[in-house]
Amino acid sequence: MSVISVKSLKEFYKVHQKEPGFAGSLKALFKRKYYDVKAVDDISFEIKEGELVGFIGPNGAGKTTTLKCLSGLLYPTGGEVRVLGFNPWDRKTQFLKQISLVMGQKNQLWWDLPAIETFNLNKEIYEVPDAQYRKTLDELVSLMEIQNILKVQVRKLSLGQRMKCELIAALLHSPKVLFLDEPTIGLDVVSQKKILDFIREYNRKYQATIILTSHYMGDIEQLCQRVLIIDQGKLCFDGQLSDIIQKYADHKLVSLVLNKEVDPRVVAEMFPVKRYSYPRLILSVKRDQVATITARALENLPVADLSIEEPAIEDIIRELFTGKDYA
Amino acid sequence: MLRYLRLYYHFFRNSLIRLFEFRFNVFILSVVQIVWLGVMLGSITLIFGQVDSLAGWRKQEVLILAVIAMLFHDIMEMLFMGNLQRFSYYVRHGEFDFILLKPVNARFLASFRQAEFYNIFRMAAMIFVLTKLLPQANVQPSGGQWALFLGFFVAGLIVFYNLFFLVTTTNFWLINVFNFNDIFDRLLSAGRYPVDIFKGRIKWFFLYIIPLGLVGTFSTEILFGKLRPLSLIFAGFALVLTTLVSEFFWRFALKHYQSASS
Repeated sequence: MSVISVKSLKEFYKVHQKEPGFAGSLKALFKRKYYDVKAVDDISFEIKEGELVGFIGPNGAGKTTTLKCLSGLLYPTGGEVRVLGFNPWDRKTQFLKQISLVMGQKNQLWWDLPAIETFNLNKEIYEVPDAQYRKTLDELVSLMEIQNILKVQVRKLSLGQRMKCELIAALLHSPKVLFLDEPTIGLDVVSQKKILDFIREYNRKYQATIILTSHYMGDIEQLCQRVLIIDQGKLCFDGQLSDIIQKYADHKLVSLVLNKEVDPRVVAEMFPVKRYSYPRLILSVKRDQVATITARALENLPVADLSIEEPAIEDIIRELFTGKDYA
Repeated sequence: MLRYLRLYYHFFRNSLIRLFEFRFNVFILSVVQIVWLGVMLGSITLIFGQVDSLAGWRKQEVLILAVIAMLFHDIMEMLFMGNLQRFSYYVRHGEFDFILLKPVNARFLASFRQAEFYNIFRMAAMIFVLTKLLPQANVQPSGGQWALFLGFFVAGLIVFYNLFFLVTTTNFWLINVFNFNDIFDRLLSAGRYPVDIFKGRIKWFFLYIIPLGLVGTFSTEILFGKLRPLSLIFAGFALVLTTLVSEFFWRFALKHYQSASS
């Protein structure tokens, strides 16, 4: 059964465009130019209960706008959205009690108070029973390992510590649907891993439906089997992460270690070089030519080691967004 | 209703905890606020060194009105003015999202989630001053008068809250209009003087369009045993009208909320 259902969702808005400098500002006082932004342009998808879906796209693609429509913050220009059977925009209490939106760059904790005070307040706001609150809080605090910072004012916490507290504040009411917008942005690798492990565990334990946006493909690869790719407001891909390689990567990487230096110009003449920095040589080879090129390399180059790999998903996505070829 | 009272208790509690984080600031502000109270009362006393009455009001009466109007202002500041002043910031920085995401009436959350206590010592000082001024003016209100006084006072608070909230809601379109706060501050300051100092159409304007009488004049007159004709009907009418209009406009404005960049 679909927990999230999106049909032909559109979100357009007008933006004032100001010419640079003081003269531009003066001119804008009297006459302003507006242009339409199609932040989300006719996208449709369904997400089942318990799915953890990656939502990726370049900056300004429409990811956050979509999440804001799904959580009822924005009134859509067109289309139909159902989350847990509710129309998000109605912002019914029963709906809001079952969802949560975490934005990596925004802060819902009371800045001058310890995080535990915000947790206690959220307990009241979401009407979480005492026993359930204590149990959930203990679990989340121990999963995140933040026992020692609960009583420290939020303004004195590091970014990573704050993000952990933000996540706990968002999860105390055990939401069934979780929208995570860049939850690992700006974090070091240790904090990043902790947050990702936590999201995985939360999804497994509570069967929560999660949509995760991130600019770090590593986050998506670690957590999500299914991804949605959005660009310029349009949905360009909806499928398994592994299918991206099949669909968009028409080449493999042949990685060689040479035991003797060869003139780069000679190598470039004979092989499709992706990168060469002695002793490492990487060739980007069309899938149907892998056997031929590999045989030629073994014959003509002083090869000490050889391996054939799929290109990194991050590279494919980058090339996809740069080349804009979604055929 | 009980749920909202409980929630408000938690907002109030968190705000107090926050206040105690900055105790030196509280001390400095309290001193400054009490000095301002002294300056205001002193300037009225100076005026009455030159005249015997102001638009028919005696010195003690004007002093009582000024204290009640300042109390009115300080209660507004304590309950909701700070929240409505921050409204513009929340909209501009997208933090209003968190208000809309909570399963609580968003207007309640936007208006009351943080109480400000910087005026608390001045409020205590004003209540003390009132207990001295009332006997000096030979005023001994009955229980009924106090009840009616409270009715006018609370109605005034609600009407001005609605007006302030109505103006604040325009932030959804105008994004940065916190200067309206200054206008309200000036209006509330003007409310410290009897509305009778205005004449003709201007008096009518300040009585019924910008209901300055509800800041202090109407309620203070009750303590003196006077009830201005139509003031009761006007207070009830203003209460209902501003509540309906501000709520209708709020619901309309919510549909135009464009969350800021994330």
